[in-house]
This record gives sequence, structure tokens and C-alpha cells, in this order.
Amino acid sequence: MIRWLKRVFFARPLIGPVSLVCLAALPGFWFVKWLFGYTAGVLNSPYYIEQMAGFGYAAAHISLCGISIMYGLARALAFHPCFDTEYRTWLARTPFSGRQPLPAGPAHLVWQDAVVIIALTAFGLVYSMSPYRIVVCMFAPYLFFHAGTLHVTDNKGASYVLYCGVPCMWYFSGHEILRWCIPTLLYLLAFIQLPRCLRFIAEYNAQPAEASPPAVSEVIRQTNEALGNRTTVRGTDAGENDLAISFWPYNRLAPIAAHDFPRIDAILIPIALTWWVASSLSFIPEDEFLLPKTSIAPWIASFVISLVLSLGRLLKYMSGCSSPINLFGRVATLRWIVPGFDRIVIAPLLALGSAVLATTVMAACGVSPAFLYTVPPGIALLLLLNLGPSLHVWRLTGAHRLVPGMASKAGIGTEI
Amino acid sequence: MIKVVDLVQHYGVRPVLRDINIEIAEGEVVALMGPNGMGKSTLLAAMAGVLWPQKGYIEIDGKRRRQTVDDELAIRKKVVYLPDHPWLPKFNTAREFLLSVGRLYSIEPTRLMEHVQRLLTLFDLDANGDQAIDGLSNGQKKKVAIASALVTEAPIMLLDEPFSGGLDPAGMFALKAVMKQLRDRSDVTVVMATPVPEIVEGLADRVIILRNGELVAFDTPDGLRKLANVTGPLEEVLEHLIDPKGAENISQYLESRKK
Repeated sequence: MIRWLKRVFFARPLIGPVSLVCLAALPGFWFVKWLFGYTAGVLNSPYYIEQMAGFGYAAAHISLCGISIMYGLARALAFHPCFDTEYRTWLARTPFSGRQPLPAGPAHLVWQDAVVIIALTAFGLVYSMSPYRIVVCMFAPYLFFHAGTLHVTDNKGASYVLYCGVPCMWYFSGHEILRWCIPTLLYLLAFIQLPRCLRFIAEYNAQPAEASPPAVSEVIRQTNEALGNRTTVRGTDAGENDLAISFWPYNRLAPIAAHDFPRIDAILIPIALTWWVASSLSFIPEDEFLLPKTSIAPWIASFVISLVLSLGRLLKYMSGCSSPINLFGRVATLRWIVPGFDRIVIAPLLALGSAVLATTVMAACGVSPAFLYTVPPGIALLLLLNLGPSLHVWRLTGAHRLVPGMASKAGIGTEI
Repeated sequence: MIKVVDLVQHYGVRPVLRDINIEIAEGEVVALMGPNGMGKSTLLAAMAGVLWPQKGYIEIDGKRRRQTVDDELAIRKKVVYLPDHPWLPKFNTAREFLLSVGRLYSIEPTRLMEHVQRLLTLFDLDANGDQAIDGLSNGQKKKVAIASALVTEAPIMLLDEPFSGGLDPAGMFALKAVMKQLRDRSDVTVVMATPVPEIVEGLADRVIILRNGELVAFDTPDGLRKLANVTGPLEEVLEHLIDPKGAENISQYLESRKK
């Protein structure tokens, strides 16, 4: 068991040391308590003992939660080939098909994990800590990182169920039955999808981008689509053509196609993000929020967050693509609006307006502060990621002046 | 059979392999030799499917590498590739790792356990076989890596410098003995990159010589002697073929030191 813990905690850097710090929190507290009590000569004073008991419980809770979180994190990262390039590359040279046991260790939970959970729970009970809290602290990072592995292995449906399901563990923690069902169902989903994820890794040749056919040929394919042509170099086989033009010097000379955000991600990321923040904020008692009826704080929060997001999108769009006429030019020529360029401002303005409007409506409806503070920026993000023009279309059809963008200055190449 | 057809590979703007064409028959032991940085590891990596060449292709037993998923997985069952710096799990023991590699290659469990034990004994890892790989010395790690290639019982073995990397004399002797046995078998094909001519002499059926990314020769040791017009040891033959100016450079350097 000790070797198991060593394998889990020290497979990735930092996790082991941080876990040790968490582990040391409780004995550290008792030592400090003894030291203060001893030096002040109040070690056996009932008042001192009573005072310190509360702090002792808090230290135990922090320590146990910290260890549980680190164990969940370590367990997700330790043996999964998604998090280790060398391991993944090695696996890609073997007949690994996703069904055989992973050589470095199991990515799914095993009996050793049950021992750890039981031990932590038993220790937690001594300090009146709910076993559910231990389970949530462990499962949340474990399932979150598994969601990440499903996302990158092209299993986005399951990954978003996990992403959105994880906050449900604490949002519904007050419900006696539901709270135990949620982690169980989420783990079952992750467990069932794991072989598919591993099979994807087995069948994907994990290589540096320069040598990897899927990555490079995808860039070339997108470039050709962007250019509206299809270059044929040799042979008749379509795959051969793609690959034949994929590499040096073509991969150095070809422009890099601007990637549009996949639609499913553009819709589900804002939803998942909003749900994460809202469910986490729901722990804060309502009277500790700046209440909407007495304060303009929700409007300010919505506006500022939406403004930052909008400026981010504008910067991305304007990198390498300047306005054809600057502000003074517009004033001098009385061309206040250049429709072909200014269309990129529409989405940010709509996002800002929608965020403020949503805050007003939600405040009027008496929505709880956790959602009042998070849903309007979520709406803004949703609009910013989904409203046109897409980056790809903008770079090709926008009425802009091409100037060296950040990518070109960094010597990366010109995005189109 | 391994077939390399019109293989071209660049790293950035540097050409590493140019129009390489090779056919290696089943059961052959082939040594890959050449100066440093001339494409030995790249050629092996391309054969192993690790690199996707810019031009040309690799065929293993009539199936092209990375053509279809089924073919590629079928090839992977037959081929084991041992790179110069292989991946090893830090916290697993050597025995655990060898067993898990054997299971990946669907070796029958009882036979696998016996084979693992024999390999640990062969490479003098009996005492360290059940300790974490991270705690082993570099030479011992190399032995574990070689054992992990041998435990697969794959009919095609691609070994990148198996005799270097801190292997002790006992390890080299053991590996050489295993290689000799593999050479006598008609069902195991071995391609190994090595810079040591003495090892090649008694082991290799044929030798591939690469220079400046081009195939200089691919022949038996005797054939290479004829090609180089040298009757001496293979070391001398290779010196002529791989580095014709080498002897001249050495004598110039020694002369300058005398002065």
C-alpha cells in the first residue's frame, strides 16, 4: 500500500510535496498548540484547551480535504497516458488497443483507492467531518481531469456531461439520496468511456506536430480550403496527396489557417463555466453577497467581466487586421462607420448589452445572487463565441488593412 | 519482410534520409551503421512507424505502415522497437513492467512469467527485479529496456544502439549471446543500429551503411570487403566506407601533436 501511494503521489511533479504539506497541517497545528501552551504556561488550562479545540477541527478539515483533493488529482494524472507524452508515444508503438491493462498502472479506480477513501473517511469521522466531503474532494479533480481526457480524445458528449456533472456534487450536497447518486453515476460514465478514450490514444500516432500526419495534413487541408483550391502533387490516392504536400518545405511556407472554435465547444463551454462558478458561489450565504436591491454591484460585475471578454475577442480579431481608416481619418472624412470593418464590434456590443439586460431581468425576478453574478457574463461569453463573423471568415473577407500581427512578430507565420 | 521504399526524411531544412530503398528478408539480422547524425535512428524510427516520412513508405510483411488502423495494429503486434532512450515507468518494478509489456503482446501468462524470470536472471537483475525502476542505475535501466523488447517475442525487432547506454560487459555478453541465437532462427528479423564494428562482425547477416543520408552499401560483411577492396577486419572495411578521410584526419592530428 505504501508503494501504491508513492506511485500515485510521486508520478507527477509537485503533487507529492503539496500532499505532504497538507498531511503536515494537522500535526503542525498540534505542535504549534503545544509550543504556545508550553511557553505561556497554559498547556493544561481548560480555557486554552477549549479555545484550541475549534482550531484543531478546522486544521483537520483543511488537512483532510487537501489530501483528498491531491489524491484525486494524483489518481487522475498518475497513470493516464493522456498526461504523459513519452508514455503515450511508447504505447503507440505497441499493440495496445485500449482493452489491455495499462503498463504503468490502472487509470480506473481499484481496491487501493477504496482503502484510501475508507482511511480518510474514518479519520474524518474522528473530527466530525462528513464522509461525503471526502468523496467530493477526491472525485471532483479525478472526474474533471477524466472529462479533459475524454474531450481531447474526441468524446465531447461524455466530457461535457462530466464537466457539468462535477459541480452537481456540491450543488446538490444537501439532498440525501441525490448527492450519493451523482458521484456514482459520473464515475460509471467515466469508467465506461475509459476504454474508448484509451483506444483513441492507441490508434492515434502521438508525434510532434511536424511529423504527425493528422495534425499537419489537417493544417494543409484547412489551408487549401481557405485558398479554395486543392493542390495535387503526385499519385492518385487522396491521402497520399495530402501527406505529400504536408511536410517540408510546404509546412514552413504555407500560411496557417485561423481555427474557428468548434460549435459544440462554443455553446457548451460558456454553459459549463457558468454552472461551475454559480454552483461554487452558491455556498456563499445570500446575506454575504452585495444584494441586488441595495447595490449596483451585479451590474458592475456583469459589465466589467463582459467588457474584458469583449475586448479579448476584439484583440484577437484585430491582431494583424487594422481598421482601414483610423479614428482621425473617420472624423476628417466623415466616414463614422466602415461597415466591412466595424461588423466585428457588433458581437461585443451585443454581448455587453445582453449581459446588462440579463442582470436587470434576473434582478427583477429575484434570482439568487450566485446566478445573478454568473449567468449574465455567461450569456456574454456565449454570444462572443457564437456570433459572427467567424475569425476565419473575418480574416478572409473583412474590410481591414493587413499589418504584422502578433503571430508574425513572433515568427510563427501569418494566420489567414 | 521489411521493405523501405523511396524513403525521404527532413528535419526542418536538414535532409536526413534521401531515397532509401532496402529490403530485409525474414530471419535476417541486419546492422545499421554510419557516422553520428547521418540518419540511423531516423531510419529505424521510420521502420517502427514512429516517424511519418515526407516521401516513400515502409512495408512490413506486405502491409504498409499507417495505411489503415487494422493493418497498423497488426504490424504493431509483430514489431517491437527499442529506441535509444526508451520510456520506462519510474515507480513500477522491472518485473511488473516486463509482465505488463508481455501482456500487451498477448504472451501466454505462465510462459510470460517464466520468460521474465529468465530475462531477469540473464541480465543479472534478480536482486533488483522487484524494486522500482527509478532506483536502478542507467546500465540496469538499459537492461530492463532490452529485456522489455525481448519479452515481447516479436518476430521483428528494431533496436537502436542496444549495446550502448551504460551496459556492463556481462550485459553486453548476454545480449550478444541472445542476438547470436536470434540470428540462427529463421523466424526472427532484427535490425539494429550500432556504432561498434566488433559487434557487427559476428552477428549481422548484412550491414546497411548510411552516409550523409544516403545508402552507401547494403551487403554481407564479405560483400562489403569486396566493395571496399579491403581484406582485413570489418572495422577497416567500415573505416573505408563510412569515413574515408578518417585515417587521414587521425594521422594529421597525431602529427600535429608530435610537433
